[in-house]
Amino acid sequence: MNGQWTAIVTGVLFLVFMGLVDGVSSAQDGSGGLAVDAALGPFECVKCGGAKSDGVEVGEPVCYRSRNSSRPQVIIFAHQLEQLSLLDELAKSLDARMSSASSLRVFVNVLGADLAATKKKAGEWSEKLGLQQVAVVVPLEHTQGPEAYQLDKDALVTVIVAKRSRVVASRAVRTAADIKSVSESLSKDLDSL
Amino acid sequence: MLLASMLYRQRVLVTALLVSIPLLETGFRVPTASAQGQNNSPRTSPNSQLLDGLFRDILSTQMERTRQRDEARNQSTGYAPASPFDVGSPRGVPESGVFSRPPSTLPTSVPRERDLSRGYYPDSGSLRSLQAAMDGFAQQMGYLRSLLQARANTVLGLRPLLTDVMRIKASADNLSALGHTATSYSDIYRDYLDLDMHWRNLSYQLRDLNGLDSATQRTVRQLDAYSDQIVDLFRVEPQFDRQGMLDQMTMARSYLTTLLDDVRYEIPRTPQRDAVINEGLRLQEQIRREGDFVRTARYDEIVPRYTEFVGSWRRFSGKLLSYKNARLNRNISQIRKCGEAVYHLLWIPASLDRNYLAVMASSYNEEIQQWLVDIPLASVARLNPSQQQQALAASKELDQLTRQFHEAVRSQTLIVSLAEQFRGVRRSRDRLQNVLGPDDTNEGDNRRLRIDAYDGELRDLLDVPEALDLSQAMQLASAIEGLADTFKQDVHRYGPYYQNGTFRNQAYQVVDTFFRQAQQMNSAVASGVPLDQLQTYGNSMLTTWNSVMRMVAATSNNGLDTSRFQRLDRTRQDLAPLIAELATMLTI
Repeated sequence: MNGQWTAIVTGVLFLVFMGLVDGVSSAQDGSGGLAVDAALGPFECVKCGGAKSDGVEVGEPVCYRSRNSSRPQVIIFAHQLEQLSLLDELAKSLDARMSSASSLRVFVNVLGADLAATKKKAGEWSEKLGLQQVAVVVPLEHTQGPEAYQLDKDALVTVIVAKRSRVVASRAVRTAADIKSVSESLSKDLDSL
Repeated sequence: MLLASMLYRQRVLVTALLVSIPLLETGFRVPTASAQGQNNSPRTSPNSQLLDGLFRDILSTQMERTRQRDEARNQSTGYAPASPFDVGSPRGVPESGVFSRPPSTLPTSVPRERDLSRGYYPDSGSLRSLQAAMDGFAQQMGYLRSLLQARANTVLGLRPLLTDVMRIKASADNLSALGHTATSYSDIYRDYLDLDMHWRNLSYQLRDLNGLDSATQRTVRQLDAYSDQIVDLFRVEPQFDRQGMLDQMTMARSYLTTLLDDVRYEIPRTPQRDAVINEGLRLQEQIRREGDFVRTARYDEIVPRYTEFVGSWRRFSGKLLSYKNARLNRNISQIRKCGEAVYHLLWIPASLDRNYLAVMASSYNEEIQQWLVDIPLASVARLNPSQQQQALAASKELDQLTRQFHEAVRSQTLIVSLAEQFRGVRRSRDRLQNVLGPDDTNEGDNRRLRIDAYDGELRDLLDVPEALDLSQAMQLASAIEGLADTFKQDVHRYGPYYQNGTFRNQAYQVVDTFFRQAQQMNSAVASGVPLDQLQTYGNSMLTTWNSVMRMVAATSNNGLDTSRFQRLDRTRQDLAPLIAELATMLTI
């Protein structure tokens, strides 16, 4: 009987501990959006900046997911316009990485309820960072992102890594402090692609 | 090179014959009622060996046909061999499944480094790796088959995929056996590329299912890994179905022509209408160009171009949907299906077209509301008071649920919730229909067909699969009955040529039984009897089919000359894939 209680208490403590230390949720636990191995569907967006030489004009509708096709790609969703600066370092480091890794593609989807304001902010942000390789876009489903991606609406940021049109990893970040650990995990994911 | 090719063909035939020997024993008998009864439990797994044997038999037949076709083609054009999966449709039999279509004339791959079909002799280490990967693939495929069969009743949408699972397993077993004797990649190169293409399509569809357990998902991943390993060894890209895409694009173009004709007839002439027609003509040209592009382009080039086309199509169809014209909507529906099929062949889930969903939900709502208003008093009057109460409650419920669903679609509710609501509407409609019974009037029949059509569209859009693809089952059952009739007549007509009276009687008995069972199955599928009953009928038919095959094999030893035997055997070959597909669909 004592053994059973010990096991239950240990289990509860473990879950509490995991909840406290881990604000990052991954697809494996079902809260980070698409599951690992899920196929990525297309979604249309409007380019707002970045990726200076990819042949897509700012303001042009485009499906970057399809343009990137089966190549390794990172799809980032910034769920809250006012928290966009959280992604400054990550976007810059990915931009630098893309310059050396020719097959990698990255695009940041800025989400917001007001379409015009979201586009404006997204454009300004990409200009501020001087992104040369990473594209910055606003999806047509601009409030909560493409439905098929099952994004967590409470997240600040969602980062999806994909290869051969399938999800390799998907992480939702719920607190500002967790962006660092997500960046580290992303770096490991990209190294292993 | 020529010698290597001949040796390979011989090996293919020998392997095919070896695997089909158990089916060609000369003894046969009509299955007794008790023997059939042993297989009749709908919950038990099918006689897997019997089904496996049937698929191996089909494979060997296809390989033989392919060999004959290749020989003819090589004599005239010197063209490379086609796929053993490619098989023409039997006489008077509907096409079924992705494996059944005319041979592809398109290249199956874009080799990364060299054309291996012309001969590439790797080091023995690579060849051993290839053999090991193929063995692993075949073994895992067998495991996957068992896992999926066990889950066919619990995972919605799985049942229609089982036929492909069985076919791929049969082909993988065959290639694994051939791999052990191969001395060159070129021996198995083309066959494997076909297998890879079919596996990747199946893998995509399996991953798309909801409710697959972790063991099955692991097995699918393992098979993907083997598949990736093998294409890497062959130094080619993962295979995708160019011919399938081209077929779908050709169909879409043809539907677009009809759609534009209908726009001319149905919509009064205005500058806006003319602008719409011009836009449609541009799309028609665009899809023709996409079709040309698909023939040779790489996967990564096709995906973005095709998505661009789909975007243009959706903007165009949105304009047409606003006319709310049923005739136009039918064509739009067909083109949409072709478009989704292309995406599936590219292993990409198509995004939901909310405009189209809204129109379908609105039409469905209107038809249901009209049905509720028009329910004939006579059909209610013949119910007893308790049933009348039930009918009234069911009508109210259906009315309410349909309106709620329609409203939810208009307010952009999430797809998951919409799918759940739609399931509720369907259950409610079934309840009402069960209480009211069938409406045999013409008007009732037409209304049911219209509601069923919208129901099918909504199921497709919201990804709500049926337990059984009834229309496919009906086509198969009907084709089997037709061929079983031909078969029975042939066996009776050849009666005077059988030397042995006992054999003659047994032959008559077995084909008569088979024909009767085929009739029973066709009628049962058409009248929508429950799945467990269909499984029982299917079990009996499969057991009898085993006897039919043995009987055909024995006819040549019992006095039938070669041409008559070949005629019977040809009908047997035509029937085999249909029975295999129906039996697998029912997962007897």
